[in-house]
Amino acid sequence: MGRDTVMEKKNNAGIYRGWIKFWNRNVERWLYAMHRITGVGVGIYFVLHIWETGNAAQAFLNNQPAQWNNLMSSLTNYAFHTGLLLVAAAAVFHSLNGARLIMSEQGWLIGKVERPTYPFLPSSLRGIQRPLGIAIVVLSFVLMAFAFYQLFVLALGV
Amino acid sequence: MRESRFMLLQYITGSGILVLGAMHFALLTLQPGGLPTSLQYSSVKSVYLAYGLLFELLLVLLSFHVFNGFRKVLIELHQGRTYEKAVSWLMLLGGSVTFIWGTLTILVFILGVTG
Repeated sequence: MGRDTVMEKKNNAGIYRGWIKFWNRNVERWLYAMHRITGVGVGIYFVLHIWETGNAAQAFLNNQPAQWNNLMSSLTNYAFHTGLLLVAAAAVFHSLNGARLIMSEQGWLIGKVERPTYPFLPSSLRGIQRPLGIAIVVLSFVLMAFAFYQLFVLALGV
Repeated sequence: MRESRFMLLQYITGSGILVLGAMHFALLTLQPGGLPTSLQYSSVKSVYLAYGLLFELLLVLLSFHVFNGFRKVLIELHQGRTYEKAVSWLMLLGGSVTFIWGTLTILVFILGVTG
């Protein structure tokens, strides 16, 4: 079967088994799924952010600080800030994991090729990329705590 | 364009977004008073005058990265050539509209500040 034929073949795994069902797989598969989920989430937020900012900009065109302040007040609430907290966490994770993927693609974080021996863990998974992946998740939570401080402690006075 | 070129551009734009996005977050959070202060009318005015070009560059990179990302995810379903072409054109349209909309918004901010 030629390569082109394989590329033309339909994705029979579908969305559930192909993308979503990752909980019985290894750490890298979890990171891959989270990269997808956070990427789509942040992408949708980006479009909404452009729309929201476009509306807010009218206050500047009319030189109306009161209009701007009213809009900002209406957006300063627990529901909106919880959404922003999730977006911040997703953006941080997606960015850091994206940097890991770029470096892995260059072969910088991958383990060296070795003769397969029991328990047959792929040598490519023995590099620093797995500890780095876990560090990225931890760092994402740390930066999420900073976002919580900004969004809830400073902005909402929790 | 070959898919490998698209992927290379995805990496380049991603790296740029990492730097400019960090600057965007830093502008919002690292000034005295944090986020609430930086979202005040006077603060936004001064930030847009100084960093309007940075936001425009971030918008260019994000418009490509986001919509090419959507395209990659949807194309992986491998539903045939017509489906793939339709997805590509739709994403090009979506990215272009978002870019134009965002650019107009940035212009409105700057014109509002200087006008």
